[in-house]
Amino acid sequence: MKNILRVALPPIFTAIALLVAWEIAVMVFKPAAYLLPSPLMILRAANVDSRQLLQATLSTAISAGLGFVIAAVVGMTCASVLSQSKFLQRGLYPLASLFQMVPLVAIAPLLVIWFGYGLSATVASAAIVAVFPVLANTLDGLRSTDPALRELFHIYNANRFTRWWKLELPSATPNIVTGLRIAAGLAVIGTVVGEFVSGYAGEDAPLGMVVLASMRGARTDLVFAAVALSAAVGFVLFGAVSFLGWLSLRKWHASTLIH
Amino acid sequence: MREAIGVHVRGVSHNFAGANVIRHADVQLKPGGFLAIVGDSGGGKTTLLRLIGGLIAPSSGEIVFTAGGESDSQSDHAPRGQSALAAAQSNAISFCFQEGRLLPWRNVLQNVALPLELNGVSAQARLAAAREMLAKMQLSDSEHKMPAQLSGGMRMRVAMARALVTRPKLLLLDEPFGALDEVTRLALDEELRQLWQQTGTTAILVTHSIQEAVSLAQQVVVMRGKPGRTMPAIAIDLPKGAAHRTSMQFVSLCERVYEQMTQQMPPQATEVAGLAR
Ligand SMILES: Nc1ncnc2c1ncn2[C@@H]1O[C@H](COP(=O)(O)OP(=O)(O)OP(=O)(O)O)[C@@H](O)[C@H]1O
Ligand SMILES: [Mg+2]
Repeated sequence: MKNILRVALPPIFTAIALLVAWEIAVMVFKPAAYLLPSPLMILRAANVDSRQLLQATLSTAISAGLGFVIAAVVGMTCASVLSQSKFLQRGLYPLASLFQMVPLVAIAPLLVIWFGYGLSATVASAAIVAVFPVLANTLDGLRSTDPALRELFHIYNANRFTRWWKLELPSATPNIVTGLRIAAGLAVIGTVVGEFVSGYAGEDAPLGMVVLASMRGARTDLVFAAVALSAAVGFVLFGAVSFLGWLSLRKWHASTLIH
Repeated sequence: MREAIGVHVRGVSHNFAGANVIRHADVQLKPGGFLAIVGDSGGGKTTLLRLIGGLIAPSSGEIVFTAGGESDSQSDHAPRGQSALAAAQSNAISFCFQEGRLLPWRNVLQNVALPLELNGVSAQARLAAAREMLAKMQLSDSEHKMPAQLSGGMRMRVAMARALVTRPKLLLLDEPFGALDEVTRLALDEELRQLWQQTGTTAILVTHSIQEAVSLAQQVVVMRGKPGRTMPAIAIDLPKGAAHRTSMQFVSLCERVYEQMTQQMPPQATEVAGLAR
């Protein structure tokens, strides 16, 4: 408990200090509300539209969560298959890395063409940006399994599947966790970008659409609220993944030791 | 109980990427025997052990396993029966590596049970066997610890328990007790000796301790120089056990081993033959 406080308190204090400074700055300089609303103004606006904002947050969270899960499953599966074959690795991995260079915003319209407006396009958008870090990190981990331990499994006459399941995968866990943590943040970004392009207006519009609509209506306070909420979605996803990673590594891996 | 196997190393040389590491090594060990190898660091002891276990193939020469008249061999030109690696893979040969090689994500008990697990032994049977070996290695209290929580010596004892849990016919031990304090070491030497006697396994022990070699083994082979060569084996004909470590005979045998490790090296048989040719 003490440790958690020691880790959590400094950033919380810093955040509070920044918000207070922001509030004071707005009070002193009085910029136009559409340029820079103060934290309290944002909070009041969010409170007024709380129902719609919650709805939007939920929609974005579902999309990011689904996209993340798909990216995790696909990324780990592909990495596992690639790790078993040098031939596939040489053939496919460079393509996968190239694919990663394609800007998401540029392919988002394609996703709309394929999936139509709505959840499937935003999920696809999230999955596409999140999959590569999972794939790359998992593959890295699987390949860097200690050769001495590989030899041990060779002596024990373990087959490929056993070696993967009982040796390579556990030894890659730290890398997998790293990949998943990066993917968690990216999934939210992917979702919001997808929503910009393919989101739907109306009652259950996701956060990306709230941002767009509020911008058009010069409701900067709502833009800020929506941005803060999407950051919160990312934070929760990232936190959940980190916690699960910590649970699976805490017994043996150095990265989990609290200094 | 499984039948022990004997080992015959005949004129084995080994090169790593062109560098000659072992030159013309000869070792002979009967089934159920106990051989100790001592020698300089970097002298090729680990390499010889890996050659015997079939993890690497000799550049020349041959390694033959004997078992009650039959013989299997592993070499570049001899006919292949059951290769050393196949023997290792059927758990007939078992290694205890110098670095332990434990899986860091498994606790002590699960590590020791690993070879049986990969061999398809039921959970209950393999855990019972693992616990029994841990007790022999004085590790019963630590079965739920993770490798990172162990001292270097404890880690090696876990590796040793894992090597023994399959009840191998040939046990290859690479400095298992190097990181232990003298008292624990003596106790585990004694434990190893008893295990060897009870199970009837053949054992090859690489060690830096002359006393350990002389007190455990029936013969001691000194490996010297770069590339490593084997000196003629010194037969140890002593009553075994810690109590005898102070006898005159024991001390003089230790002295002989020490002399072999330090004296001027005799010219090698192959070199002489080469000159004659
Ligand atoms: N895989 C390898 N590739 C290249 N050279 C190697 C390899 N393994 C060992 N060597 C070299 O072979 C020589 C003998 O090494 P080996 O590990 O057999 O020595 P050792 O007698 O076991 O030493 P120590 O007592 O320090 O454990 C060393 O010079 C080492 O550098
Ligand atoms: Mg060695």
